[in-house]
Amino acid sequence: MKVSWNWLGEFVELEWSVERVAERLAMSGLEVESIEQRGRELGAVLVAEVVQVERHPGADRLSVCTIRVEAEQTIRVVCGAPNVRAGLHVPYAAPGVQLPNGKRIEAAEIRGVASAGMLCSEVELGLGPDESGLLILPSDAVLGDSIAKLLDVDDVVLDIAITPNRGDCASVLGVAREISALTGQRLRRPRVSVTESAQHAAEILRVKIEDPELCGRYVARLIHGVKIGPSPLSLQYRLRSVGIRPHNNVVDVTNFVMIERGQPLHAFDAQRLPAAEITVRRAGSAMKYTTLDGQERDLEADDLLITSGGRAVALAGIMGGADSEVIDSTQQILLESACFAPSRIRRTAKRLGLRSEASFRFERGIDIEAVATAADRAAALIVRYAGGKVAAGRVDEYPGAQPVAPIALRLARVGELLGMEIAKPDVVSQLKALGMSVTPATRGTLTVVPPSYRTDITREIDVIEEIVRMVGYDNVPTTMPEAALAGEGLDVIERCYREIRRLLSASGLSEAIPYTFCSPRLNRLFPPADGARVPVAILNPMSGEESEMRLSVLAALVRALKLNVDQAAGHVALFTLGKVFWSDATTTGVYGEAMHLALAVHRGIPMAGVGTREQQADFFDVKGIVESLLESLRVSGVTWEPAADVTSFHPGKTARVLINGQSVGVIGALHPDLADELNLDASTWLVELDLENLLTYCPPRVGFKELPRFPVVMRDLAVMAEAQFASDEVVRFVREWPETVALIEGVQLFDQYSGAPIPEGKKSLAFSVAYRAADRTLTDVEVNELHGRLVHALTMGLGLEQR
Amino acid sequence: MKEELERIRREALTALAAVSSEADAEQLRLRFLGRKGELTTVVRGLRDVPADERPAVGVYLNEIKTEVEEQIDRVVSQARSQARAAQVARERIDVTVPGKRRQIGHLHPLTQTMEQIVDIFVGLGFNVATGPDVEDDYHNFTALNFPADHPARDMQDTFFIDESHILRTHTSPVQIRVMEALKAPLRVVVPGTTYRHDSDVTHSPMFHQVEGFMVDRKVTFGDLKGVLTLAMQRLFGSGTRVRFRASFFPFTEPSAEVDIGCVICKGAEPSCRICKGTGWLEVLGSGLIDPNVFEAVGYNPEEVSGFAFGMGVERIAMLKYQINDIRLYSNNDVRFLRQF
Repeated sequence: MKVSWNWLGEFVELEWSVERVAERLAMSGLEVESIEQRGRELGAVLVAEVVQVERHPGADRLSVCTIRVEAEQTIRVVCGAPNVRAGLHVPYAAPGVQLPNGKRIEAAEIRGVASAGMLCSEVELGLGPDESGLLILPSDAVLGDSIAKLLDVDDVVLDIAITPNRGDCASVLGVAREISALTGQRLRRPRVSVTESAQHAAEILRVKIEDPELCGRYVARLIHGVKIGPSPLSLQYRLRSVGIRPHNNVVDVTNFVMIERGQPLHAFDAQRLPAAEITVRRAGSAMKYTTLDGQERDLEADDLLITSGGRAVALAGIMGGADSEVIDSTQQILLESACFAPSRIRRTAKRLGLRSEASFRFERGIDIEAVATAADRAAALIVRYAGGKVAAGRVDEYPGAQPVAPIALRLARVGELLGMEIAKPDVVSQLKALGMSVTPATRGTLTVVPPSYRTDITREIDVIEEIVRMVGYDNVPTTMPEAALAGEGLDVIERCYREIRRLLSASGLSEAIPYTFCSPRLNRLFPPADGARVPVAILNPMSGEESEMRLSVLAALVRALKLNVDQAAGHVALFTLGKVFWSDATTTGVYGEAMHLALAVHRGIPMAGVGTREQQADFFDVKGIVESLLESLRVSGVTWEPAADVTSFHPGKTARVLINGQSVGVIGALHPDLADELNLDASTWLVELDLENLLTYCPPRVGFKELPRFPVVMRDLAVMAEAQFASDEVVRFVREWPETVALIEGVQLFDQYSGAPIPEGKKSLAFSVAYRAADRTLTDVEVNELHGRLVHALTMGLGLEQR
Repeated sequence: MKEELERIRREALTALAAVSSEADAEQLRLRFLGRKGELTTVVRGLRDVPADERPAVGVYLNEIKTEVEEQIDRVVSQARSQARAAQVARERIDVTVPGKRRQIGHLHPLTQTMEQIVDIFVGLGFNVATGPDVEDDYHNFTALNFPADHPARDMQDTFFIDESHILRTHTSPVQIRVMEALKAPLRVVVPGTTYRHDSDVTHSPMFHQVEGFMVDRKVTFGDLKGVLTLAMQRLFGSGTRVRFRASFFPFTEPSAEVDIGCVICKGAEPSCRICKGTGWLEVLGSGLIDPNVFEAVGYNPEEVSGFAFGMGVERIAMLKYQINDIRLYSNNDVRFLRQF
């Protein structure tokens, strides 16, 4: 919210510098986002009178003007404005003057005519958007006065962030009150008085509130005989300086008073109201209503209306209707100053997308006690700027009147929560500075009544917050909690995540953190293993590309992979550890999420060193990384089975990773169709593991096993198998063969070969088998005998040929 | 006999003086000391020496044998070291050729920052907790003292999933979940992904927060200041200045924004782009937990008090590494990732 320093000065004696005040406000909860000096340059721009206007001899559109800024001396200026006329008062910038837009005026010759300076438009002075012609100054402006002085535009504008709890500060008066409380500078309270005519408003107008819980107070003032026209320039520029566009004298006054006192006002053309009657009520049923911006709005039964003669004339607190708005011919004004329920205004304004300065204030709560004063202030200003007479008295319906509830403040509680003792007299004086009434109650307790404008203060803790704001957070001693030394450190899951991240990065993969949002297309391309999972859709996504939550982390990772490949990076290796999301296909409103890990390798792991440039990763490079990962997590019982049914993967180059027979994920090549569609290499290797599931197989503790005391004896085993044969079967057979299970320590494939002299359709596999007994040294004879039997059993059992 | 020995000795030493290769020296070893070597042969004649002279001749013989052997060893050893010197002088590799390796991968700067923050609080005795990203309105707002239809809800532009579910706008709902499940005392830190409907150079629709809170008997505002000052100094360096400013969050009261002294200009540069000349950078929000929050989870605010805080990981990392565009985080360009 923008606040004018000059305006503040009308309500508080400002002896501190702008910066010092801004700093104090910021430390106490009103953050000053910017401090802007305005109109300083306009001190050098002067009021001039146009004495004579002649056509420029060399250009149709230019005039040669004779002007004066003091009685005696005339100046000749070339001017291009169409509205220049003899007798007008206009702004004049002499050579040497710098305008707010940075332009420096110089004496010049324009098409052969010397011009000593420039006459200025509103836009050239940085005062407003009008560039159609010269800014016309009031005819009573004193020649030679500075524009800054005349229009009161030499000002500083503070932009203050108003937190949602501080509706009371959404006005000049409110900020002034806060400054006064925080700095001790004296608050001024300009008297508001209205000169009234003989006729009583109450005799002319009736006001009825049907829903007192939605409208606690409604004040109306009637003003007759106004003349609509533009406001004085100084009023217009004051409004502009805080971001409000001027309309006409009456509307400008309502805005002016809203900015000044935080009370939104509405001016009706009283003659255009259907009846001399105002009723505040709910719409009652769904209906359509056209607001003054010409838009037809869909209203709901609970929306609050201002009606007259049975017709809606305004959407309460939000926007009036075109039928009764103030127009150029308006003569009678019904000025509305009311207090509406914050949540009602918010709900309607939000639904209709009609957030305004008025709704901003109503939503945050206004001062119900100040409703009448604001009406008086506006009535007085309307008479000043638009003429007319104010009818005697206000029509003031105030069903919501109730005393502010007192709050019991325990002084001990203040010390307990802040960690510092504050003496009772200090507490009392701080709260009083904030406008609260404070009276002693029982021992150690004070009764505090906040002012009517502090609707945010209802509890003891709210009062304590006020005290510490006044004390200053910096003055609270910094302490460490008195707490037992405890804490379990990182939990096992978090430690596993860290282990995984470090192992993968050491293996050459960089970590990506892509969005968890995803496009419906990517979700279709990478469906979840569990068919009962459907995507979680976002009702208001940033874009169509981000309208769902990802079902698989691969969907998101592939996008990151692609971005890198498009950056001409050939070898890219990424991983990501993050959540997948789903909703249940059968039950609505049930959502699930789980941590997954995905790896994506395009072409290969980036290598360094001579001769590595062309090296491409294959399935086994990526599988090796996953094996290392599982080993570092100490997961055992891992098997790999071909998986031809995962739609996004190459059916012949993909495996399911099983632990104790349960699938925990998939590893393989991106399906060539997808590679084409996504414009990626066919050698794109992908892994997705369900970590939530996988980590349940991590043993909680590692036990130590004695080192073997007797030597190992190695024997090789070479067999010929069908090309389709899974080498894993041999390993499993050996492990499970009951006769040797106690004496075989391990079996490992160390070579595989196909091609001559191996017949077509066959392959040769070579395994090494490690024999060891726990209690003795095995003899060669013994091992040979065992090995012989194993080979026999194996070839018979699996239908293999020994080589 | 003695003369014979003397002759052999001279002959051996003369011959040795003429050789320099290991092979020639070994040849001489055979000639003089081998099984049929000259000295060996002489030894066999020792039995012809009169018994009384035998010991003296024997001693002399041994002296000569030792001397010749030592001389041969010396020549061999010299020859070997010359040959080795010649070898190593010959063998040269280009040590500037790069090593052969898989290039290491890099952890995302957000992960590194988040781990660092979490570790600081774990070091202060906090435990780690997490919660769902798809959250219900109650935990994200209502229980945290955001009344329905209150402007405080505008502080956090929300992604909606259905009438009662949203993408969590902050990690604070985990406060509620933890307090619903556990009794005080609590010291908890919550890293997580959060979402707001906002996107520009400093705002990302998905971002990360680390939340933390402590609940116990007699936790004070001074304790909040103490813990967060310590944490910020661990995060940004021990000399970091920290200040607390009044602010508003629905779920804390009193609420405080925490600023640190500008990490770039140290408050000395009025034209500093990072702190806009203020000398201060806002890094986290905090406050004493509002009694309404305690009541929502069934705690008695008269018995326990506590503080809570939350910080944006993206912002902290931007300040730590001087990253100027938040979109770099989600693009995951390896040229960016490699820098961390």
